[in-house]
Amino acid sequence: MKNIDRQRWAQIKSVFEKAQELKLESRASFLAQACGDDAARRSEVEALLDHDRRAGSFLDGNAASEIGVAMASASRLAFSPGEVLSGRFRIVQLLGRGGMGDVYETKDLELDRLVALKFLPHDLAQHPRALTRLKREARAASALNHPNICTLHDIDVHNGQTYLVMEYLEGTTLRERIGVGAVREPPLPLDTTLDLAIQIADGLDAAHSKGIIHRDLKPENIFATTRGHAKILDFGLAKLMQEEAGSARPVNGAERIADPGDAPTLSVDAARLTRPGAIMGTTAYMSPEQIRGDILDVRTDLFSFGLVLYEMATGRQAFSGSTAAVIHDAILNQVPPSPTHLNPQLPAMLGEIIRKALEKDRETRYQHASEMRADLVRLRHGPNRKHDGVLPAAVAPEPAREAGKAGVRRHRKLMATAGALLLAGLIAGAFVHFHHAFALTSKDTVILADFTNRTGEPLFDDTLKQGLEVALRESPFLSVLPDNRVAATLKLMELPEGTAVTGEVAREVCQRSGSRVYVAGSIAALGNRYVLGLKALACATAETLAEEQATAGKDNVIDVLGREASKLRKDLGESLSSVEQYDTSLKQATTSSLEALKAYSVARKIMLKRGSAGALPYFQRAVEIDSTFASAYASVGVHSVNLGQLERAREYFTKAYSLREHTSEWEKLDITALYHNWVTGDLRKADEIYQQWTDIYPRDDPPYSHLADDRMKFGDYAACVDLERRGLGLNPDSVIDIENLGWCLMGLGRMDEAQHTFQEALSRKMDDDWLREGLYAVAFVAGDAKGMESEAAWFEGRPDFKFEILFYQADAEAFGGHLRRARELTKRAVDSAARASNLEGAAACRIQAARREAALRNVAEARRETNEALRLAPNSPSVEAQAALINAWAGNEAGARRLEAELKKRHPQDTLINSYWLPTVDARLELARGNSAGALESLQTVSSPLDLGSPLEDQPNVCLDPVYTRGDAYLAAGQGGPAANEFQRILDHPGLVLNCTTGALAHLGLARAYALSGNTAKARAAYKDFLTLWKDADPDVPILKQAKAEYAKLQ
Amino acid sequence: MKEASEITQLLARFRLGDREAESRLLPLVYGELRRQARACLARERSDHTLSPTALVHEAFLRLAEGGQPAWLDRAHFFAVASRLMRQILVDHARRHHAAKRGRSGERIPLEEALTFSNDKSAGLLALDDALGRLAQNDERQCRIVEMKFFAGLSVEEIAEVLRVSPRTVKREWTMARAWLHKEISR
Repeated sequence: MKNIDRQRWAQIKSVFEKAQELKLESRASFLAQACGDDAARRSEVEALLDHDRRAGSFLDGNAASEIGVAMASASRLAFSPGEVLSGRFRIVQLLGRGGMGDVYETKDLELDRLVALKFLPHDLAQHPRALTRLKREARAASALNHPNICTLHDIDVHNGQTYLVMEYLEGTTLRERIGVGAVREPPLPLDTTLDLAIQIADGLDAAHSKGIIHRDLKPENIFATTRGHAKILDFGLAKLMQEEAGSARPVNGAERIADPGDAPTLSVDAARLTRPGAIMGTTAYMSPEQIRGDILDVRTDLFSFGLVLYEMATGRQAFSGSTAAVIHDAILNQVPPSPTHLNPQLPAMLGEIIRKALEKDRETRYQHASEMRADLVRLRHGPNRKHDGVLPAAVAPEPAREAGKAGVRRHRKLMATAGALLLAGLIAGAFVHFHHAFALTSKDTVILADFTNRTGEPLFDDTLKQGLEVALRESPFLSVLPDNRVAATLKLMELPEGTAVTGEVAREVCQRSGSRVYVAGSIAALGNRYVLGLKALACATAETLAEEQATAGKDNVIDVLGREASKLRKDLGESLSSVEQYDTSLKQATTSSLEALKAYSVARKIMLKRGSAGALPYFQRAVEIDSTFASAYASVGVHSVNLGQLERAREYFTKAYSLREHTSEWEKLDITALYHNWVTGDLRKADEIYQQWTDIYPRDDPPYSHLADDRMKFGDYAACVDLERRGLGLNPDSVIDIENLGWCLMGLGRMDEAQHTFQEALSRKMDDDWLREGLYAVAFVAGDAKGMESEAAWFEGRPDFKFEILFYQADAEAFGGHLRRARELTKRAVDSAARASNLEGAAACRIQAARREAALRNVAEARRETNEALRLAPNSPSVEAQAALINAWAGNEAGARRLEAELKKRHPQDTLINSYWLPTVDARLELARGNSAGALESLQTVSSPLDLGSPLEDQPNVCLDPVYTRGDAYLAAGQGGPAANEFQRILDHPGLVLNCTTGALAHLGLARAYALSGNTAKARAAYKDFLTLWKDADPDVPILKQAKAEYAKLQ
Repeated sequence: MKEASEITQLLARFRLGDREAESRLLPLVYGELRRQARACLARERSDHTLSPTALVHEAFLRLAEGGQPAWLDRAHFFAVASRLMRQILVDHARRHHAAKRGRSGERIPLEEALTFSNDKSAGLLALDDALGRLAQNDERQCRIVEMKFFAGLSVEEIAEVLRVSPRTVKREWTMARAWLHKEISR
């Protein structure tokens, strides 16, 4: 449509503008009415509307910025001699200007050597990911440390300009040796050609054997030093530059097989592909498969090498033409003039080698650089260097070979066949893939990319992705890769946390994490409305599998997003009934407030970076904005638990529970289970919910993690290990699960495995207080004082966690009978927790100290600490339960009874209080009254393995109170044998008891039990164990004096 | 730098459609832009990004500096600036394109070796072509594209220059963009 008359333009304009303001669905009827039978006008307007939608970011930037950047980089490129870069590299002179960028001879002042600095186009510096990949690939090649590969020392950035620090070479590139265009040097002497070619083949062979493909081999990239060495330059650059220029095709997994050292290739966004005139690498040296955009393997380099060799031998390019299209056509379809025809001096064998390298079908080409090298060497050193020469071995027809070489040949053939079969398999796979409907299986996970927000309204950043996640996670059919795994994958890709997971990055995350599909969303403003788009793409091919688009007003963006997500689920193959069954309206499931959702999503993001403490205020902000936002309440609860603020956690869990109907299915399960776990304490109910959760969403890992946690509470450590392993199978990067697995293994006494587990977490750059305490515990059991010290050192400068280790160290001191030091450390722990405003933490320190004192029979001290603890945490059921026990133990029956009554009244459904703590308290009370039979009866409900359970979340060591109490009861009942059994059980679980005082005193209990049953020898041994453990204990501890007296009596 | 009065005169003549003034102005403006870019970098060696719009504005203000360009109100200034920017960029792309194609060994002088990639050049030339056709249908839409895309003006600034509402600018821009997209994707 050119130069249409003004009136017609005005008509089209008017209809377009009106249609444009309408909703998509009402446009058609409007157009029909507005254009009447003027079909041309209608189709013109429709075309415009269509292009308006498809225009994407077309003309979004501004050309001025292009020139600004271009000019800036032009200025930056000009370095003058003497200038020093990065405080280290002094420019000596400009060596040349490559297609890639300028090269300078430079003095490395630090290492006092000459290096070459090669600057890359400015674009690259703005793509940190590309830069990282470049570094990786270039380093991989350079790590080969091969004499024929130019060594890359470093890659750095100066004023936004990326530069490579390379080995400084004296000489010229092959391009300069051969000449360009019409200006040709005479062909290189044959010996020189062969010498250089053999070296090039050698360099290629070394790189190929490591799976590194050059992809852009050409005379410009091969350097001939003045000493006659060939050096291949720029390994790893070609692929990257192509991607930057937007010409790379999406490549599926096959290339990764051919190229194991390589990262999956990026996809290129559609805008770039459709941009006019996209450039295509170095046209004249591409292989046919490269032109076709096929999957590349090392053989592409052999074709390019053949072209270089052709040019070296003849002084002419094998394929030339004025446009890329002409050259491409020639490479694909034409046979170049025979080199021996152009240069009759050439030996026939060289012509054959070149011909074989230039086979268009790579299956009939040389398969390995080493083959080509062998033929070149044979030619160089053999007698037949003239045109009448024998055919080279690898190109010789079969009958000509000697029998003795058949073995080698067979071997090669096998290799080649294997390669071909593999390729055939891949092609078949691709065929199936493209020709059958894309179907997700139950093992497939989905990645959510960050939304592309074209509205300029930051409110939509993260918010929509968060909403989409909630919506998609409701699907039992789709499994969305959890945040932490995305973060872990970004880390693997050497990208900083918080890197935008946009199309390309999302695709790589998707591929690396073994996911199948990624979902990319976008929002753009359309007048005063918004266009919301969702797109599901296959990770391997970037093929669009499903697409949804709708418009929304600001007040119903979330709602519309939810509806689109449901449609996308159907598009991706979820059954209609499943979509209908699990389809809470998103507005209801999350919040109708964009602001609240924004705060929530920011919190989630911060959580990954700065943990619970950082995220908590944002979750709180979310509930302040929308007081009906159930999931946000639950999150405040969860992170309060993580910070040891259980009282607040219970308050928020209760609130979330009361709003649970306003959530999606999985959130409802989550909230209900959290409520039972933390508020009612009804673990059996919580377990039922988790079980239900795994039934509906078998690929979600959180329920496994929770179930495992509960198994630990019930003392079933084997089940815990099993469940954690299943959870980790679903989410291998969950640090909490790795830690808990370690603790469960300790519960089973498998200390080496536990240590290995913790160490593995550390090696994967996961680190936190719980992990460090685990390693401390492992070191404690191993008697490794140095290890304990070094783990304790981690807590220095971490004021939030410092009290944990102090209080743990206090226990360790008390374990050795150093009560004074234990008390001192307790005091420091309490102070430290108080300074961090963690009153519950301080209470935990105090109640643990009280238990210690009670066990050591320092009754007054025990009661004092108990009262302090209760004062610090007046509403904590676990503190109250322990306080009841200690009061009973320390003879404060009234206090114990009062607390018991309180607990019964307030926590009637709490599993641990009712089946673990209260029976143990009762037993202590009965013992205090001298009723050992009553005590034993009471403890019958706390049977094995519950009596080995870990009831306290905030305490690493498990004091095994029911077992210890039962031992005391048997002693009181005069039953030495059963008493010994109980104390022995404590001693048999060092990975559980760790440094709890009962662990030390169990030796004494065992001694007394044996003494009681008349087994003097064993009693003596047990006393000795105890006295050895306490050999340098504070001498004035009453229980030590008692033990010594008892031991002396036994002598 | 040329005398301010000469540039002022050239600008005035350019505004009146004097093609010769245009051809004499271009190297002056271009040179000034480049000088600015370099001065800017010399001042701050840190890794910063130039604000291109600021750069262009500053260049023009410098060109007009000293004289009393009474005609140079804000609207005129933007109109001239955006037209010049289009010409500079397209001109550059054209030369770059030509140089690339005809290149065989000879080197582009350092000053000209702006790192325009081929696709950018080609895209810019195609856009320039389409813009020419758009101007014949709708002069105002063409102006808007020039101001928005080539000089980086905001919708509000354009509205001020054209003395219309920002809403109108947006509407015109939407259609112009759709039309250009259609033309270029053919």
